[in-house]
Amino acid sequence: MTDTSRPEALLKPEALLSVEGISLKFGGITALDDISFRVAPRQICGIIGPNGAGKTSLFNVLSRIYSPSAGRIRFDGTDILSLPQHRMAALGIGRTFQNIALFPGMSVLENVLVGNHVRMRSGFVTAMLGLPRARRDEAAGRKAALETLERLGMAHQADTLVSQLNFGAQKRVEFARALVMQPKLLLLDEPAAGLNHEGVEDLRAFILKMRDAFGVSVLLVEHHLDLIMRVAEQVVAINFGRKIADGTPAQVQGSEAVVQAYLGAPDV
Amino acid sequence: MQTPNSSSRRIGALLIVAAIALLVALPMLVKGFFLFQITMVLCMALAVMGLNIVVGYGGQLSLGHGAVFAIGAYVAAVGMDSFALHWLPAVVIAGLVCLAFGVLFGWPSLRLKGHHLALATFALALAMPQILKHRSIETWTGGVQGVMVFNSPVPDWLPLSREVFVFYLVLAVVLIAFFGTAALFRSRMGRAIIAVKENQIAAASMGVNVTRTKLATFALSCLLTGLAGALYTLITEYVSPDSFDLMKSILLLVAVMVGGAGTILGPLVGAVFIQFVPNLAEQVSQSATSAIYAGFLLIMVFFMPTGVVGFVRGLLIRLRARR
Ligand SMILES: Nc1ncnc2c1ncn2[C@@H]1O[C@H](COP(=O)(O)OP(=O)(O)OP(=O)(O)O)[C@@H](O)[C@H]1O
Ligand SMILES: [Mg+2]
Repeated sequence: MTDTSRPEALLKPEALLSVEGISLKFGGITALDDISFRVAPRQICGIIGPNGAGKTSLFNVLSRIYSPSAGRIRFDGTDILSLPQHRMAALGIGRTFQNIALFPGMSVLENVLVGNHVRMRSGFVTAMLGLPRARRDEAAGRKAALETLERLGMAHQADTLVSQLNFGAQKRVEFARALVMQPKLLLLDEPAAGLNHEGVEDLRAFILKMRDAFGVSVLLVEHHLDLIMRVAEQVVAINFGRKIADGTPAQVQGSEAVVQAYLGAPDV
Repeated sequence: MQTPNSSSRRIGALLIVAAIALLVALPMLVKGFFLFQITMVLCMALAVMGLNIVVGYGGQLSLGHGAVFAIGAYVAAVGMDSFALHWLPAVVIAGLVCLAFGVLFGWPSLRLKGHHLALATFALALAMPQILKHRSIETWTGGVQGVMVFNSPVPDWLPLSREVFVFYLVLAVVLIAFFGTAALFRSRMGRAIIAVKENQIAAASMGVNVTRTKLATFALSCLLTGLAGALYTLITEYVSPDSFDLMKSILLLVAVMVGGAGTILGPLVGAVFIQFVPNLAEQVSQSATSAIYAGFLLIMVFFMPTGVVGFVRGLLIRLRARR
């Protein structure tokens, strides 16, 4: 499938992320079916859809956990499908997980330090010999991690074991862990889950602040439609693995297919 | 619950300094068989430290570190005996051979998911005594007889007995390994090792090369355990194939668990356990030694499931929370 067959893609030639015709199958289940969309630099793009629509699967494809059966993904000029999962962080794709994937035996700070893995340098030998290079690396890494925690109002909990935190705080640690690597694209899978009204407002302000301060693009999966409509510039709606709408929040909200999809899934 | 704070860290540092001072003074306090036993404990602690890296921190099971220990011991013995090497290059070469062995052996087993490392290392441990006895290498390994190493490692200018010199040598290597691993697990790659154990997918999403980290973990662990094997040769002046059977691997694993998997001090405690508790059991009852030993082990498992160090750490945290 070439770009010329998709006029909407031509309108944004400077896309940071372009997803083209991605399909993903689990045995007989088609989790994603010919999904295409683009995300521009500094753009906040919402992904909506009922439970089981394929939103998390899409994220897992973008972070190379799942390999699609068809399609192409270009990120920042690189064909990411030719690269292994661990290369995504260095390329500039950071993410959080819907079902918390922290390192439970580590403190908050240590978790964020692992997030800083690709920006730190020291290897086995320099660290074990305690060389000055390793010490400087560690000090700089800690500073960056603490600053990120500070920004999320979590610096006072730096030494707490993450397994001792509540769900909301764990989500924030995941956020910090993804932010500290200074990604170009941030994938947030239901960051508002478990937050009260105030928390959602804080989150909205924070996402906007991160985008404005660091120029990061954000892909945001949320069931909290109100948040999506007020923070995203572009919204992609999917249902049963297919894209059913793509446009501004207003366009997508008014789309017949989206209304149908949500009426068909009253639990959302 | 908090991770250890600075004041408890300072107390820990003080205890470690005191322990090192005691160890350095030890040859002036004890002699003969007891000094030999302590040297052996330190040597085993090094081997257990190696295994602890892969099991406790890396979350991979190795049932074959006794065999890695054997390779280290034999390479050093053959180096000194057949090739008339000085002890220093012999020990260094033994360590490097085990490091390379770790890479070559770990490569195929670690690329696969699941328990392949456990199975492969189990097979290695089973085969090792027979490999060492094999006729094709008998000229060097001495077959069932093993290898005697007679040269004295003490430099002429040092007025130390052989036992005392070897004690200090082993102590030095153990201290370097101890502080080296402690530093590692406060650094980027050390955290990557733990991250891979705790959540592989998340670790990879943070940019950790999971396969390469697992391989490096295994190779590093083989280096330490192999060095311990080489030092064992210096201590005992004799290696024989049947002292490196599957039981050796199992005992190292017992030491990791009893001491506290994934703790820095655990291997030292574990080594004391596997070195002294069998004697203790024998003193309790000559006829039921194994049963008594098993009893000690079961008590440990039930009352200190996270090992001695894990247990003490939990106790300290609870004490601090009460204050
Ligand atoms: N590892 C897997 N193996 C098999 N099927 C899977 C797997 N992961 C997801 N699926 C299936 O793919 C479909 C999409 O799931 P996905 O988790 O992507 O949905 P989602 O949009 O994130 O839903 P939710 O809003 O509930 O998080 C579902 O039918 C799900 O059962
Ligand atoms: Mg989901």
